[in-house]
Amino acid sequence: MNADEPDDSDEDLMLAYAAGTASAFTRLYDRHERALHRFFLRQSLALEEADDLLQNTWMAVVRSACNYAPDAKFTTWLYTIARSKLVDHWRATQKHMTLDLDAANDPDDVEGHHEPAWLDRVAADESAQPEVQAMSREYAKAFIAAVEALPAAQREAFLLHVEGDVSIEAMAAITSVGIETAKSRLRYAMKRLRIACAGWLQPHASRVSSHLIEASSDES
Amino acid sequence: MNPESDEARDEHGERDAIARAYREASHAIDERPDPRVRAAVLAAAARAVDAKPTDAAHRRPANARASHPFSARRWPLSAAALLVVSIMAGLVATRGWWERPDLVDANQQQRATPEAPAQSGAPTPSVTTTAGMLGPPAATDTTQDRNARQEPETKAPGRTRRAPGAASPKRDDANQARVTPEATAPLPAGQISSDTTRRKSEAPAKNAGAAPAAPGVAQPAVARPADARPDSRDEADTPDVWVARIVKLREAGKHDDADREVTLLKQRYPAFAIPRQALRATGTR
Repeated sequence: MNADEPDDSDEDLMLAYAAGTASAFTRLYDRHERALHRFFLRQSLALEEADDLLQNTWMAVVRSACNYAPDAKFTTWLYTIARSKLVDHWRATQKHMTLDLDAANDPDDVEGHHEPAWLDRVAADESAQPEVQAMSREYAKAFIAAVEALPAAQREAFLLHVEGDVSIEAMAAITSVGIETAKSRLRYAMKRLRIACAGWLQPHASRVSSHLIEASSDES
Repeated sequence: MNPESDEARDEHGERDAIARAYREASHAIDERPDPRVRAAVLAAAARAVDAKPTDAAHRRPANARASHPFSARRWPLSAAALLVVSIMAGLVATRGWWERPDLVDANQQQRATPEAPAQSGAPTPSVTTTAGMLGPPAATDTTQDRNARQEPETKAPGRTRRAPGAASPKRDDANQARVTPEATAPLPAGQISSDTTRRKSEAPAKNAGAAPAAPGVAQPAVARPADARPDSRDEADTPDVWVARIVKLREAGKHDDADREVTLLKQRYPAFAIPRQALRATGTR
């Protein structure tokens, strides 16, 4: 197998690295570095903590490379390691109670969930600065803040879905819950985000996209 | 149209929209990990590959280490070789080559051989040649030459080498007892034993006053008495010559020296009848 092929799958690259091709690991790392970093960042962690967890996760990947078997997607394996590191970190710091993951399993409280404070801030920012260019970054921050305000289990499901591109089945395996539970978590996370951002999410999302395109064309 | 499938399609569409919005927001914020994390991880990955190369091209044969006889002991051998070289260098530095008997003997023997006839005073020029060929006295020569270097001005000529068949015996017991420490300095075992044996075999002959030393065998250096004059007598002198010199000493009024010479003459030639004129001052016979 040639590790230099640009369209190699993650699994092929990991197998190539396990066979001794270091460049395959570099490509694999570059593919998933930022997504995994964001996965940690959204867990209400400081930047340094996210960096540490990112490094610990990849070090574990390096150590476990010889035991890697492509019986599942690479991202499933990667985020399983990442979640394990995250739980260990929470337990070590006693910062982000692991119980929160289980307490938030009941999605029935979504309907009665009060809007978080960040939504008021976003609304105020939106009314104060209606221009798209001024709002794009603020909207991005507001949306990220909405994600970070999700209950831990729902946030985890959401991040595994959007960052790791993990399927419902894999998500259930990673989080050690049933498929229906995993599906419910993701569904209610989406619902909560939709409710929180109702009325401005879609139009601003498109505006953010258009602004980013313009910004990138201006830079080039 | 199935309402459940429509609902699922809407849900998927909404999920995709939210996921897309999230990704765009993340890109807008542009959060990047510390570049040192990347460097550390990639370095660790490269080290892991180097440490456990499973690639067939880089894999060593399982018996590669065993096939190399010195691979497991390369460092100990290197350390031992370095130690030996260091010790040798230290020995060479602390002990000059001129102090090494094996190197000095050959040089000194070659140097001493042509000088021996002049020093001995014996009329037999073949002695040194024979001595040089016989070899064993090499250590004795070395010791004697060392003494010669240490006291060149007091060394009596002819004391270190004996002429075979010389008229005068080489040494008396008193002189034998006054062997200098340099003469008894440690020598190689073989040389010491041969010299000791030689001395033992020569002792009766010397006491008898008749038998000369074996041809070509040099004797250990003999220390001169502190008060003795270097030119007062010669070990190769005959008793008559010795007596004549004693008489001259008495005529010159040097009776102490004459008495000392008489004593030595009597010790060396116990059977020799010393003339009266040589004993006059002391009253001894």
